[in-house]
Parts: sequence; C-alpha cells; structure tokens
Amino acid sequence: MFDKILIANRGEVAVRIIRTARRMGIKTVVVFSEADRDSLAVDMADESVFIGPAPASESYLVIDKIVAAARETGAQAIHPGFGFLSEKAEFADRLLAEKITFIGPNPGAIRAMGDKIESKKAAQAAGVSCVPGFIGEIEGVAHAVQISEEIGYPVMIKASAGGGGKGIRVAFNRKDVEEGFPAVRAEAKGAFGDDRIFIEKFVTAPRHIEIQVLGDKHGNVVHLFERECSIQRRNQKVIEEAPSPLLDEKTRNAMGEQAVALAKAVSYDSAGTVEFVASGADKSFYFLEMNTRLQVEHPVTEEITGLDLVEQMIRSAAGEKLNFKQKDLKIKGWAIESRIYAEDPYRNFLPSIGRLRAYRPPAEGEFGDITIRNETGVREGDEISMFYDPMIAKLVTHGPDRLSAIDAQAAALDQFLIDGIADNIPFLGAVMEEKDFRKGGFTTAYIKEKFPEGFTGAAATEAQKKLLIAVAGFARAFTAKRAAQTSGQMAQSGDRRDWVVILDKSHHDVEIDLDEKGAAVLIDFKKYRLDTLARPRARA
Amino acid sequence: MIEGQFDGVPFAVKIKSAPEGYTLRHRGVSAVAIVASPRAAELYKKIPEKQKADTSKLIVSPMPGLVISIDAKPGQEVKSGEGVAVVEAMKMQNIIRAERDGVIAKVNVAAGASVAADEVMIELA
Repeated sequence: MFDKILIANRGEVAVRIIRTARRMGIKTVVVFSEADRDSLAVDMADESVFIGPAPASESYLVIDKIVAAARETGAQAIHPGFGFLSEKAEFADRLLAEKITFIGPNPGAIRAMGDKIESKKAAQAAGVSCVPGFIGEIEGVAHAVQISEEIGYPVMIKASAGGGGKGIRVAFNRKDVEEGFPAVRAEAKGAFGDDRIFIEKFVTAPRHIEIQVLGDKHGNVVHLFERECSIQRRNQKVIEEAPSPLLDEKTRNAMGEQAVALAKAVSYDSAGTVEFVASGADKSFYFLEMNTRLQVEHPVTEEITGLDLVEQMIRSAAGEKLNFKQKDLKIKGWAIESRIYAEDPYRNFLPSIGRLRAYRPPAEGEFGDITIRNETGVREGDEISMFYDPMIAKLVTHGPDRLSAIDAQAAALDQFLIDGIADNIPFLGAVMEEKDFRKGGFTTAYIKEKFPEGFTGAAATEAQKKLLIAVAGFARAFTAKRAAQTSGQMAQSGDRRDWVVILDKSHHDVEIDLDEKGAAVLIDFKKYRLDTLARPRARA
Repeated sequence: MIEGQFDGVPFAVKIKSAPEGYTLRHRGVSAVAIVASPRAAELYKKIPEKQKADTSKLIVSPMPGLVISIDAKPGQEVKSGEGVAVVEAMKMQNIIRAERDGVIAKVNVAAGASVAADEVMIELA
C-alpha cells in the first residue's frame, strides 16, 4: 500500500479523497491554484503544492506541474478525481513512464473508451446492446421503410448534418417513414446542403441509467448496480439516486452483466461507469458511453452497497485483489443525492458567484434508519469563484426505501442554510414534493416538462401555509415581547396576542400565546401547537 | 432558520427579515409574510398596489459579471434581439440583447467594468 498519494484536483472531490486516504493511514498531498490557496482541501491535506494561476488550463490541467509536485513531495500515486486530467490517456501514459501509480484504469482502457465511435465498436463486440441503427447510403423511400422495419418502430430519421431539432422526424409506422423520409431529406438539403440521412431506433421515454463497475489488476470485475440520473437540466445532472425506480431484477442483472463484459473486454482495472439510455416504456436499454473515472454521483452507490469507492480504487491501483465477488453484493435501502449549485432558480438558473456569508449544512450521521451525508469543499466565509464548477455541495440521504430517502432529503434541504449567494435548494425541495418524481415516473426531459417556464416557486399547500403563518407570527410576537422587556419602555405590542399575518396578500387572524417551549397558535380560529427552541432575533 | 415541530411534525423554515415583515422559505415555497396588529392590517388593505417600474426601456445585466464589450452607441438604432453588449460570468460569455426596437439614449457602463445583477447597462429613448 502507498504511504503518500497526491490528489490532482480541488474542491469537494479533493476533500472526499483526503477523508478516505486518512482513514487508510495514507498521507495526502493536494495541489492548488491561486484561487484555492485557502481552500478546505488545502487545509485538510498533509502537504500542499502551489501549481499556478486560477484558470485550470494554467494549473490543474498542466501535466508537467502535477508530475513535478509528485516528485517534489515523494507521492507514490496520483488520484485524478473527476474532470481535469481524470480521463486523459496521455496523463496515465506519462505517470506509467515516470513510475508513479495512476489511481484509475490503465491507459489502454481510457483510450478504448475515450472515443465515441471506437467505444461503440468495442461495446458491440462485447455483446453490449447498442442503439440499433443504419449508417450508410439510403437509396430511397422503399429502402428507408425496409431499414425501419428491420430496426423496429418507432425510429428516428435524422439528417447526418442535423442539429438543434432541425432535420429530425420520429416515425411510428410505415406511413410516417414514407412521408418523413423525403421531408427530412429535403430539409437536410435545404438547411445543411447535405442530404445524407441515417435511421436509428427512437427510445421512447428515455432515462439515463448507469452501471458502476469495479475491477482489479487480476482480471476481476464486478458491478455495483445502477444509478438513475434522469433528472437533468441541459445535460447537467441535478438529482441522482440508487437503485433506479425503473429497473426490475432481470433488467438490472442484464445491464450489470453487459457492463461487466465491456469492462473485461478492455481489461478494466479500477472504478468506472457504463452509461445507458433506457426506455421507460419497455425497459429496453442501449449503451451510450463509458466514463473511465470516479463519477460525481458515486456516493449514492456507496450508500446502497456500504463500499468506499475511493478506497477500492486505491486498493486496485496498489495491486490488491477485490476481496468480494458479485454474489456477495446486495442493494441495501435507497439513496438520493441532490447537487446544490450556486445558481438562482428564480432567474432561469443563472450562475451566482460571491462569498458564502452563511454555510450551515444539516448535521451528518445516522438518525434512526436515515443516513445524512454532505460532500463539500467549502466552509462558511469561502468564496464561490467564477473559475470552476458552481457546485457547492452534494447532499445525500439514505433510507430503507425510496420515499423515506426522498422525505429525508426534503427535510435535510430545509435545514441547509446558505446565504450570500443564490442557491438551487428551493428548486430541489420542490422536486422532492412533486408527485411524478415521487412516483418514479420520469424521463430525461423531466425538468423541461415540469418547469417549462423555468422555476417560479412551488405553490404552498394548505398545511404549509399554516406552518408559515405560525412561524411568522411566532417570530413577530417573540421579538415584540423581548423588545418590550429589554427597553423598559411602554411598548404597545409587548404582550399583544392578536395579530394579523398577511401571507402573500391574504389576511389571517392569528393569536399567539408564547410559552417556554414555543407557542400555542390560533390561526383563523383553529388551534395549532408550535414547539421550537428558536429565539428569533429582532428585525434588522 | 426556525426549526421545531408544528402539531408534532418536525419542520425547518428559513426566515429572513425583509423591509416589511419576513421572507420565508420552506421546500420549494418562497413567501412574504407581514405580521401586523389588526388595526395596521386594516390599513395595509387600503394601500394601493405598487406599480411595477417600467423597465421596458432599460437593458439590464441579468447576472453579476464582467463587461467584455459594449456594442452600441448613443443615437444608434437597435432592433429587438440585437446584441448590444457581452457580459462574462462563470467562464461563459453572454450576449445581452435588446428586448425591443429603439434608439440608444445612454450607455452607463464601459468594457472592463463589473456589473451587478439587474444593473442598468443601457437605456433606450
């Protein structure tokens, strides 16, 4: 095992790797750019090496600087995290030449999976199901119909040069092809000056489901089940979970076996992810690509398997054998992850930068059968800069079943306090309460379909309105009473019990009886009980 | 933040003082609450709704960022959808476009300046 490893990354993933290394008794070196000089990762690591200006192209992406930092500190291995150099075969090649261990797959596997066309060929050869399609000269309508019927409806007729929704038709039957093929060809010729057409299977109700694989240098590969990552905004994953609400045991096993077959075909020897598009209509699934690195959403897999993927990567890189077999692995419970981004959901998710005036995540740990975990690289007072990814944290909750994990996630989001910059927590909270999400019936178009006009805030339920009225009334009554006690002046409202709470323009008669443990609250002549230890501060 | 139990059910509500009353956040809900005495509440009913300021003639920065270029001059005619400035934020350059046809009356910022969200960059006549 290594004595010291270098982490060629920043932010939450650097912190994540340091935690595991420390637990394993391995010393850590982290590299940092100008912008990350005072970061949490730099604070936590045993050593740190400055590698240049804030732009990644002048620091985190410069192979020479990373190698020099490893040489200087005597690190025996390098974990690349995700992003940056994690999928650059040249980096893995260079480390091989320098005799520094790359904590990731061998360069051959990175190369084989790095190219879109080559990886599809490898997948096909390994018996992995790929989107059935036809690439080549299509002679005319009759030929197009023949191809479509071989593939099976529905099919997508697409202009080779197409894009932005132009030059695409979906055909559900022969008639659609007979009409659609000439139309797409004419459109392609007119719009792109290129009338080459291809036809492929159209995946209805597409979902993004990926299989986590894990290999060692002794030819062993297992899969750690699936992650569902269909909740995306502009191809950026927002909410992930494991397992997937779509899959049954049979589909799960079939996907897992294919992912393992592909990994074995390229001698895969680390943690990696095989991505599929699956149809919500019939559970058919097709290979998309393989990511040859640790994935951002890996914690949900860790929560349902009890494994530490970073530890497994380090062990495999050090030449250890996997100490479990496929049959030893079982799915335990359900895990949900929300990505908390520095973006304003009310302003079409525009990025927001600045200082975290407040950053108070919910308490981590086990609470009954619920686990709460927060992966982050920031602290209160840190700055979210414009140079890197705008992700602030990943909030993960695990429970015995899907709904308990979702409810725990919603409650933990409510407790997550961020101030100084805008965050997407209200949006995430709205999704946790949305009925189709809770039912597990969604596609990759979920956000676009549910929030076509962007996010304007969820409507409060009657119960939520009562809660908000009670909380506002309590805060006002409490501060009024305290003001009266401390100033010693005649304060008219000091012992006032009757108030009117105007919640979004609607008036509610409220009576607040404060006591040691909170207040008895009467809202529109109905009794409620508010228990809280909160002592609201006076109004600024 | 106020945490506790409401009729026995655990909750957490984010509460912040606003110029009038409080802003409250819970799950996906964001609300404004004014808490007043019954007499004051009656008076609130009589206050006429505030008219929204006419911003149709203003071109504002949709986000905080750095002005890369200003591509319009006072007196210049612009068409709706025409790019008038470029603002960079989070490694991305965003083209700021005129939302209506008009003539540029005033340019308030220059290339190289930092702008805040909603800052008026250009005014139309």
